[in-house]
Amino acid sequence: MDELEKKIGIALRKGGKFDPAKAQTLRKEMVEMFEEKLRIVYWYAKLWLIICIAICCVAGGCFGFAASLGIRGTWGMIASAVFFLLAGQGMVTIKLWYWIMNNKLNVLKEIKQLQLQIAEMAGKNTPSTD
Amino acid sequence: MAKSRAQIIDELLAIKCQQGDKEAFDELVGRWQERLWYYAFQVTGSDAAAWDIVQETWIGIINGIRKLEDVAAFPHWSFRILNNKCADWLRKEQLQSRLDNELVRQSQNQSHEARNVDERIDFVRTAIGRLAADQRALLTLRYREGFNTAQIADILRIPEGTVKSRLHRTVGKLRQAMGHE
Repeated sequence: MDELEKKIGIALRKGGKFDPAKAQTLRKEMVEMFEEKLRIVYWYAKLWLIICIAICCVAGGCFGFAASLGIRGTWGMIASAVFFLLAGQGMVTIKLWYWIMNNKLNVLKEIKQLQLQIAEMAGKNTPSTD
Repeated sequence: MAKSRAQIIDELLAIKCQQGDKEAFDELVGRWQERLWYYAFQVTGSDAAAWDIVQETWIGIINGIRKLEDVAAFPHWSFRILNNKCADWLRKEQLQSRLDNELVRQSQNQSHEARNVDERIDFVRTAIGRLAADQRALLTLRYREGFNTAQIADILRIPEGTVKSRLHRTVGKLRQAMGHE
């Protein structure tokens, strides 16, 4: 970098008044928004599970108690079995997806923590230039 | 290329945010807020606009962080969102680019007066303030944030060659304005 480029870097660091109080307020708002977003995601996941369980119960009940409920046709029983399997599959899929994502993120987190420890050790081992 | 401690911490925080860790998100906001604000300020030239843009950027980050595949890309991904918000703001405000000739003409009359270091820095800052928003954005990404040309190309969604030529042209303009050879 030549002298002008260094001056550009210095000049760009000046100017503008970053307001820490405003920053703190914005920070709190954003964290609340993040929490709200998480709540919405969990709410949708719970709703999906509830719907799947409900379909499982209804379809399972229709299939299992076909005679008492007066369901005679084969197609009716096949349909209830299919719905039962689909709903069951839906529950398993979402749990599997969550488990895979969480595992992947946990592994990545461990790798990053290891990298951080290595970086800190490398920093300690570097002789001081003082 | 070995990553710095700060880069690794940012990546770790991004991963924790993807897992829904509220404290990690709070720390990430604390670490990045000022940098994002300064970029928005440099592009828009307005304190108030910069705060609005930063707020919208964080909303974009909250909505998109779970979909971020590579956490190492968090810096230029967040700046890409920020840049898009700045572009939207500029489009709304319909700001015109500064005339290059005006910059050179005005600055050449002043350059011989800037003797000491502080004056020269202030002069550079004034000259930068007279540049077009996209030129200021480019300089901020390169010389304040330290992104390389590939990352800047990714943030601004332009070819890398275009970034290099625009940078060269912008710095050349400033050099001319400063009266350098």
